[in-house]
Amino acid sequence: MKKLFAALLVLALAMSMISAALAETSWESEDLTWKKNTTPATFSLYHNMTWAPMDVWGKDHVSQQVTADTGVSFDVTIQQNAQHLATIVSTGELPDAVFVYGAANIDMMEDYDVCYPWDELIEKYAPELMDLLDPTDIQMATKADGHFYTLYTHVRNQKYWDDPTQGLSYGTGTLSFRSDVMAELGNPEINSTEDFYNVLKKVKELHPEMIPYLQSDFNGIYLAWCFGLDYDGTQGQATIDDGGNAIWTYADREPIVDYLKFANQLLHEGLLSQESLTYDQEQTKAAIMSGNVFSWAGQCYDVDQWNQALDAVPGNKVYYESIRKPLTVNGQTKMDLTWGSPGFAGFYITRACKDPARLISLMEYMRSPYGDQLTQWGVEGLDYEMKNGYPVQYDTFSWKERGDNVWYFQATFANENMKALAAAFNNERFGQVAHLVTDFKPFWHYDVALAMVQNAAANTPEGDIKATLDSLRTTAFSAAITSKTEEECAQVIETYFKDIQSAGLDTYTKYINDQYQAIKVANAK
Amino acid sequence: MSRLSMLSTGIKENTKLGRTRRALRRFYAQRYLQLFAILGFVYMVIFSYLPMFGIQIAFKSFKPAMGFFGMFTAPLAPENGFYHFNTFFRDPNFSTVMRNTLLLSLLKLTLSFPVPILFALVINEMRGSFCKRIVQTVSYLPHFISWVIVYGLIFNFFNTSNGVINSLLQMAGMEKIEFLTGREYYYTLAVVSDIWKEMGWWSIIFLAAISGIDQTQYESARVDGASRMRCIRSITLPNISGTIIIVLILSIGSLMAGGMGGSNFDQSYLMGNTVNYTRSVTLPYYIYEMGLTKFRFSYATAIGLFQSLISLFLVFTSNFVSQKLTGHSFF
Amino acid sequence: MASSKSHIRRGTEDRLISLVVGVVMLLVFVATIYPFWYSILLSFNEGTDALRGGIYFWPRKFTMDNYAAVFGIEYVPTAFVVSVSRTLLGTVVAVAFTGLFAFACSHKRLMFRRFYITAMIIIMYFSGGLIPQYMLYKELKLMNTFWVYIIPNLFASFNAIIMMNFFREIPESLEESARLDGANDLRVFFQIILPISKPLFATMALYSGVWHWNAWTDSAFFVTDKNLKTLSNVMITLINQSESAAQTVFGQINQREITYTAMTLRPAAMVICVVPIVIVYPFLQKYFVKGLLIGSLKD
Repeated sequence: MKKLFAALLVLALAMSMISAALAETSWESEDLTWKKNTTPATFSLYHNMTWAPMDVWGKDHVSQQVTADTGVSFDVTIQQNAQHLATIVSTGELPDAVFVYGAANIDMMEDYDVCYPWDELIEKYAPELMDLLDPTDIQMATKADGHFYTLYTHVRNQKYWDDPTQGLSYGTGTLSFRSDVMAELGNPEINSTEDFYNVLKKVKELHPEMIPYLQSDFNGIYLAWCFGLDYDGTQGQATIDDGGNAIWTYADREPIVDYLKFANQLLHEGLLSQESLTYDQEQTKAAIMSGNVFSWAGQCYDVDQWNQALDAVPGNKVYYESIRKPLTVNGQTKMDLTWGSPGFAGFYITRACKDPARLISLMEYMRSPYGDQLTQWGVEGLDYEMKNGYPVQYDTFSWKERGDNVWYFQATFANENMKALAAAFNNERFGQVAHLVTDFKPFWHYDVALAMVQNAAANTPEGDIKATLDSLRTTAFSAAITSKTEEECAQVIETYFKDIQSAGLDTYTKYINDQYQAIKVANAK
Repeated sequence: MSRLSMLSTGIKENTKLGRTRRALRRFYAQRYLQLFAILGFVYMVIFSYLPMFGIQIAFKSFKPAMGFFGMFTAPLAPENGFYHFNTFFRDPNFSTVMRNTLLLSLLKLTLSFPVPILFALVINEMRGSFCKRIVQTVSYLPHFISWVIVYGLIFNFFNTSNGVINSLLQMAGMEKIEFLTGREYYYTLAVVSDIWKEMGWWSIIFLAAISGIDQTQYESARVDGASRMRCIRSITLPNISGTIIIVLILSIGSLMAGGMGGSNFDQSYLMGNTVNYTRSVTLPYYIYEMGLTKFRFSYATAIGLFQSLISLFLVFTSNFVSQKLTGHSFF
Repeated sequence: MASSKSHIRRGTEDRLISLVVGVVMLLVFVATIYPFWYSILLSFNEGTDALRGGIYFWPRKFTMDNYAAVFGIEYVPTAFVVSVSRTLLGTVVAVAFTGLFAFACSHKRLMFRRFYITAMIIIMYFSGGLIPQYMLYKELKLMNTFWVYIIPNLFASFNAIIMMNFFREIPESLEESARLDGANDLRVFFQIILPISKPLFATMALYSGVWHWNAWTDSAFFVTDKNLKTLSNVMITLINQSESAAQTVFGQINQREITYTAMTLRPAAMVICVVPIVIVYPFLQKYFVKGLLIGSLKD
C-alpha cells in the first residue's frame, strides 16, 4: 500500500513537473501574463479599417468576448481622412494604441519617440512571450534601429510556406474566362499568350458587343507576371536581378518591355478595354454583372464571389472559370514570383499609454491561437462551426454583430486563409479559390531576406526619390498601353527608363541592395 | 454744431503735434467704423495670421513625429532651405502639372465666367415671376450636387460599356468613344461640367446686383423709346460693372484652384485616372497626392506656398490693371 | 414721343428677345434638372437593380429602402439638428460680423483702410495648414465643441469684398443726408443702409448658410464626438464609401438580401442634404426685388 502510494506520488510529481515544463512554453499555460490581470481597463484606440462597419468596441460578439476574457475595452477613433494619423501624431494627441495598415502610417508609428518598442515591453512585462513567437515574424518586423514596434498581422512566414498543404493568398491574381463563350469556341486550350491573343480575336468577331479582356490597374497585373515581371508586394518593391542583386521591381527591363508591347497590341485591336484600365473594384464588378465581359484579370477570391453574385440574378447563364497555370511566353513559362510580403497591419503601443504592460499582455492573448481564431472567425458555435476542419460561418448575424475581421490585432495569415477557403471547400461550383491557391504555388518562391528589405521612409531623400519613381511608373505604364502606335509605345518606354534614371534610381537601388546583402549575410549566420 | 463743422474749424497748424491731433480727431469721428474694422482685423490675426507660422516648414525638414514644436525646431532643409521647392521644380511632372492647371483655369475663366452674367441678364428679362422662380431655383441645383455624384452621372452617361452616349453612337453605327479615359477629352469634360455646375449659383450674385439698380433709370429710358437690348447695354451692365469686375478679380486670384468654385481638385481627383493623368493632374491635386497622402508635410507646404504666391501676385496685378482701366478695384 | 417705327421695332425685338429667353430657359431647365431628377430616381430605386443600368425617367423597382437605410444610421437625427443649429447661428453671426467690417472698409475716409483691406486679401491665399489650425483650436478650447463650427467662421474675405463693393455703390448722398441730421455711423448702418441692402444680405445669408450646411471638413477634422457631427459629414462619409462598406454598414452579409448599393445610397444621401436648401431658398428670393432705392433720397 505504501509502495503504491509512493509510486503514485512520484508519478504525480513527475507529471506536474512535466506539465509545468510544458506549460512554460505553451499558449494554454496558466502562467501567461495576460491571465494574471483581468481587471477592467479601458484604453483609447485609433484604427483605419474604415471598410468595417464596427465603429465602437463592445457591441459585437468578438469584442465582448475579448473584454470578458481579458477585461480590456477600447474607446475607438476611426480614421477620418488621409492625414488624420499624421495630424494627431504632430499635435501630440495620440491615443494609447494605434492599429493601422498602409506604408505611410506604419512608417510613422515605427519611431522610438512615438511608440514603445515591443522587445523592451516583452522583456520587461511578459518575457515568456518571446519563447512563443516565431523568430521569422520578429525578423520581419525588426527595424534598422534593432527594435520591433509590432508584429505584423497576416505574415506569411517560412514555416507556412514550407507546408505543402497551405496555399497562396486567396487574393492572388488570376485570369478568368466565360465558360459559355468558351464552349461556343469549342473550348480551345489557352496555354500561351499567343493562344490568349487568338481567342480574344475570335471573341471579338463573334461577339462585338462584348469586352474581350478587362484589366484594371489595381488588380490586373497577372498578365505582366506571365511575362516575368515580379510581384511588387514586398516592402521595398524589390526583386533580384541576374547578378543576385536587389533592384526595384519596375526597373526590370525585359519583362516590362515585352508586357507593355503586348498589352498595347491588345488595346490597339480592341481586345483590351481602355476604360477598364481605370476601373476600381466596384466598377469592375458592375461591368461583370452587366454580362458583357469575356475575360478579366482579378483576384482568385473574386472569381467565386462574382460567380455567386451572377448566380443570384434570375435567368443568369454566366459563369467564369479561372485559368490554373500561367500563360507561357514564346514557349517558356516565365512566371516566377517572389513572395516577400511582410504582413498587413500593425498594432502599436504609443508613448501616450500609461499602462503599456497591460497592452502587451493583451497582445499575448491576441497572438494565441484562441485569440487569433476568435478575432478572425468569431465566437465558435455562435458565429461559425467547424466543418471538415474549416470554419464555416453562420448566416444568422450581420458582420456588424459578429465583429470579426476588425479587432484582429495579431491575426495570422493561416487562419485568415482557412476562413476564406472554408466556403470554397464546401461548395465546388463556387469554390475555385480552394484549388487555385495551390495551383499557382509552384510559380512562387519565398525569399525572407527580400521580405525584410525596408521601403524608404517618407521625408527622407530616398523616400522622395521613391515617390517620384512610383509616380513615373504609373503614368508610363498607362501611357505605354494606351499609345496610339507601336512607335509611340516604344518611345514612351524608352523615356520611362531614362526618366527613372534621372530621378535617382541608382540611389534607391543602392539603398535596397545594401540592405538585402546585409540581411543575407546576417541570416547566413 | 455738428461734428463735421467742428473738424473743419479745427487746428490748422502743420506741426507734428497738430497733425497728430487732427488724426486723433478724425479717428474719434469715425470711431464706430474703426471699431468694426479693428474687430475684423483682430479676428484675422488670431484665426488666420497666427496659424501662418506653419508655413515655415516649407523651408525645413519636418516630420510629423517631431510633433508640434518640431515645426520650430526642425532643421533647415538642404539647399539652403529650398530643397522642397527644388524637388518640385525638378519633378518630371512639374511642367505637366503647371500646364494643365493654367490651361484648365484659363479655359474655365474665359468660358465659364461670362455665362453666369449672361444667365442673370436673361433671367432678369423673363416675364412671369412664377416661371422665373422655377427656372432660377432649378439652375442652381447643380451647385449642391457633390462632385462625387456629378462624376457618377458623367460616368453613367459617358462610359463605354453601357453609357447613354456610347449606346447611341453604336446604334448609329459609329465607334465607341473613350470619353472618360481619353486624354483629348478631359479638358472639355472638365470645363463643361464646371460651367454646368456653377452657372446658376454665381448668377445669384449678379441678380442681387441687378435688383439694386434704380428702377427710375429704366422708366426714363423706356419713355425715350429705348429697346430692351439698349436697356441691357446702357443701364444694366454699367450698373453691375463694379460687381462684375470684383468677381473677375477674385476669379483670377483663385486661378490655380480652378476658378471661383475651386473645382480643379475635385475634378482631378474624381475624373482623373492613370490613363488621362497627363491631362488631368492639376496643382491642388498634386499637392494632395504627392504631399499629404504620403505625409510629406514640408513638401506639400512648399508647393502650397508656391501656389499662394502666384495667386497673390495675380490678384494684385489684376486689381492694379482694373484700377487703371476701369477705376474699379478693392481700394 | 415714340414713333410708330420704334413701336414696330420694339415689338419684333421684344418677341425675339422673349424667344431667345424662352429657349435658353428651357435648355437650362432640362440640362440642370435632368441629372438631379436622375439622382432622385436612383434614390428611390432598388440598388442591385440600378446596377444593371437603363433607368432614365422613372424608377424601375421602387423602394424606400435607401432612405430607410440612411435615416437608420444612428447619428443622422442628431446630425440633422447639429447642422440646422450651426447653419442658423453661424450664418447670422458671420453675416453680421463680416457685414460690419465691410461697411467700415467701404468708406474712403476710413483711416488705415488700405491696410485692413490688404490684410483681408492676404489671408485668402495663405494658410499655415492643418496642424497649426489644430493647435490653435486646441488652445482656444474649441476642439470637439459646437463652437468650432461658429467661431472660426465669423469672417470670410470673399463675402467681405462683395459686401464692400455693394456698400460703395450706394450713393453717398444717402449717408450724407442722414449725418446732417445728426446720426452717427452706427445709426446710419442700422437705420439707413441695412433696409436697402436686403438683396445683399439675402445673398450673403444664402452663401454663408449654404456653406455652413455643406461644410464637413471641420466636422471631420476637429470633432470626434459622434453626437456633434454634422449631417454633411455623415453624408459625405456615406457617399465616399465603397460599395462593400455601404452594404455591410447596414445589412446582412448575405448578398441576396441586400438591395441597397452605393449607387443608390449616394443619391439618397445627396437628396437629403439638398432638400432643406431647396425649401428655404424661395423664401429668400423675395428679397431680390427691384426698386428699393426709390424715394430714399433727401432733397
